[in-house]
Amino acid sequence: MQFVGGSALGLLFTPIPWKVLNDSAIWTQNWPWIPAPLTGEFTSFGTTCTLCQSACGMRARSVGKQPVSLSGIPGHPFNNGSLCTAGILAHHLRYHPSRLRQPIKFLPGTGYGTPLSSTTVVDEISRCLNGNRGPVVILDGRPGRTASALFGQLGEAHPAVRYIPMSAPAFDVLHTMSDAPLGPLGYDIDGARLLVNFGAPLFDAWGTPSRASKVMDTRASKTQTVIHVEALCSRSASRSDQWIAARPGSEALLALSLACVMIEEKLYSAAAARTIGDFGEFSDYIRTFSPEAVSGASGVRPETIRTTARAFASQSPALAIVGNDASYETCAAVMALNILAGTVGHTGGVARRNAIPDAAVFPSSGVRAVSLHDVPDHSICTLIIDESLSGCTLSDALLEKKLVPKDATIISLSPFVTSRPYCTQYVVPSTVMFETMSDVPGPIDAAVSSLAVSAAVLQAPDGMMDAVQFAQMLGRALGSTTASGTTEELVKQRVAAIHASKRGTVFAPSTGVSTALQQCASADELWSALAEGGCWMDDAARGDNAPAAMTLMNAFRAAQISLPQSHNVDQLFVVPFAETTIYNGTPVSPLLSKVSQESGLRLSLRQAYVNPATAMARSVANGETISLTTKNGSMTVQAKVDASVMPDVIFVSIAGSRESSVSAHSAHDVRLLCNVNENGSFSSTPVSLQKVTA
Amino acid sequence: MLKPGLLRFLAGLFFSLVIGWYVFPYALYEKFEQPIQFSHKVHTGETGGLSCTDCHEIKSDGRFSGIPALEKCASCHSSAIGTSSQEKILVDEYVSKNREIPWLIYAKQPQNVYFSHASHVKLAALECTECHGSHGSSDSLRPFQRNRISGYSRDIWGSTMSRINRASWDGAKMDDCENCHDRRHVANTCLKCHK
Repeated sequence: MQFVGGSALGLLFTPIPWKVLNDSAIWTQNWPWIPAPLTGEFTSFGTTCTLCQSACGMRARSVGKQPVSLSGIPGHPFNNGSLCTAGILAHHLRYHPSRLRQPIKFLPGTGYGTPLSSTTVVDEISRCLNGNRGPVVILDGRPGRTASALFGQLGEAHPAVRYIPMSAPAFDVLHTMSDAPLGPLGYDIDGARLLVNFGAPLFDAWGTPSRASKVMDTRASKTQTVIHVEALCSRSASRSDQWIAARPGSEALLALSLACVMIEEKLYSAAAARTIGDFGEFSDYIRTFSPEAVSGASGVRPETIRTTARAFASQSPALAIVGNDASYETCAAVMALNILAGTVGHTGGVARRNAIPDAAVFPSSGVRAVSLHDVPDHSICTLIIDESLSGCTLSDALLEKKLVPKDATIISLSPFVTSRPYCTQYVVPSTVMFETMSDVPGPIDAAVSSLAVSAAVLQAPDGMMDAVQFAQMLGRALGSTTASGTTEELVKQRVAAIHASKRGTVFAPSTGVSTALQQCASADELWSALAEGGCWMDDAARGDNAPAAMTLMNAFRAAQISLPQSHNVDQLFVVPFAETTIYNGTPVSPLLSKVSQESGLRLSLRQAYVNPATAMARSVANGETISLTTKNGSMTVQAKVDASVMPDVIFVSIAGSRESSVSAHSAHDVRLLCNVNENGSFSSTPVSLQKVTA
Repeated sequence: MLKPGLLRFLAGLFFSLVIGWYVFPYALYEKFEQPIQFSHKVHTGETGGLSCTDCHEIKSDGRFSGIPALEKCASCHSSAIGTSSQEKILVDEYVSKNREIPWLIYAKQPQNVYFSHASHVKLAALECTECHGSHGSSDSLRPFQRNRISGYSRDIWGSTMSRINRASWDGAKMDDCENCHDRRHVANTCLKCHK
């Protein structure tokens, strides 16, 4: 016993206890089933991020061909060396837990999918498309790609198929105001002296943080002024020169009021006014929306409206912009402002841009594509959506509105599970970034066209399709002819067509500089620059691009904007709220979603922002439970008293959850309480607030 | 005269100390010979003329080549240029068969650590000997000692079990990195090394 006691004591003075403890801890980190990164010599290659339309140039540090870390390419015209958090972790998406491994068929209302074999799903899709069930619509969330050209070919070749590329709703409205076709349009944000931003996430998500930083740099160097109109002091609002807090849903009234001041004080562009055929009628219409009349409904003081209108008219070129989720009324009113300022078709305004030169294999019919909003409600029997690239989140509420109730089918190409509970849905698994070659056109509302290329370096799992292969499969199912060839061959033909046009500049990461495309000796040289993460940017459209003749009132008669009969100063409004990010609704690296969702920096479900004045008037303290009641129902939430929201508006969190069908939400989702706009977005809705006492 | 009980107690104490300080280290580490007895001394300094970075290259973009690939050796030793038995093994077993040499890496860090040679050598201007001691002038390669529990090289812990009065190159555990950063007033945050 004494020997054992001595041994035990002695053991404490040897390295055995703490060394074994240390090594055992390390041993648990190296169990064989824990995946270990590849080892070997590091190499790097350039490519283009496909997560959103910004087409940021990125450099991948890799072991073999496996990317292990991503960073921006310095000097790149789109992102100048920076990447957003989603882009930095883009190489994780290949291993995302919700990655689809085989096709799935979802039946309406079940939420559960049945796995199908690749052959079966093609057969079922073929039967579905050829069943004479009614119109087939192909919805393209990322137009301008090679796959888009193939989808367009299907739309032209098959009478039952309609191809609808995603477009900026504000420009759709502007097209309807012009008597002659305007062609592709874009916001020349860099060229504007004054920006009046009606809620677009300019500095936090519109084109990724890296794009936003570029915009901020441009603004700093050119003394550009940005005025942000929003009910919430979002990051975009806080980074702007001025924040105008306006009630949600009153943006159209506010824009018309600015237009009213411009007309009253004759601050508009005389040249632009001469092109407006119904200027007199529009002037009469607009006088209703005087600053005094609009002030009550918008919560903005009349003098603020007048000052802003005068600044907008005097600081030429001035540009009014609006987010792509804005209502038709807001788009119409904001575009009218640009027309009055005379900046449509000019530098620093709504610029016309040249389309990307088309390859010979993609003949264009010249027919202007229609918008999804123009499709009659409940008319689509079969909807095909290419969701292979993220960043093209579509409003499910809008889709649900356009589909034939209970009998519609959605066929989607997606790398991830995307269940839509209100219809039958086939999901075909697609490749993700690094697994397929893809051309990446610039944003749909950019001032100039651009094209970049994303490299294929990794072998895609069996059964995955890229968008081009998907379009070719649909073509075979429909019995239509589409351009044949591999994705790389087709993309190379587009690049050759761009080279033949001799327009624009090309940025080559190897040199770090942009040069005129005319100096690029061959299409192969251009391809090499694009394939290593470079980009091609078109020249700005030349000549006088101002619209020759405009008619505004058609749009405003359709919009039916009217002042509220009476404004109850005590009326509260409720608005669904989610932090704006580029990746709203699309999967990101689990690492990123864990950090952002569990950091406590965001509101969680059933929490709401309430302005201190509103809270004080109703004796609500921070953290207390309140009950919200609208004509659609009621729910209880926890109040977070915060001065970053305007008085009388309650922002209830949807916690960044994917926008989905209203019918799919739980009883705790604020969207059930809100009215739905014609474009599928949720509008601010009158609400009554009551404090819940324990 | 000591009582028998106390004697037995001291014997137990002594037994533990001997086991802990002398037997345990031998039992904990298993030894492996390197595939070739490479002589740094022959290749570097006045004899060979090479510097560390001639073979352990830091590329212009910051990447570190680590142990050079066979291609580097073969650039001089495509055929034997001397008479040593070790060079014969190099040429016959590896260069002529185009087979990479399975070196056992003494200083290999775990996967969860990001260590940049470029930052430490070029930016901080540390000498190679600061972390690798006289390895660059050694005439032969000592056996690689692998920890039977953790799987790590013994060089990570250091040559002594007590880790007392060690040279800067003797051990490369997290404490050693932190202490060095502290001494040089360099940021010591987690994400500096654990990316």
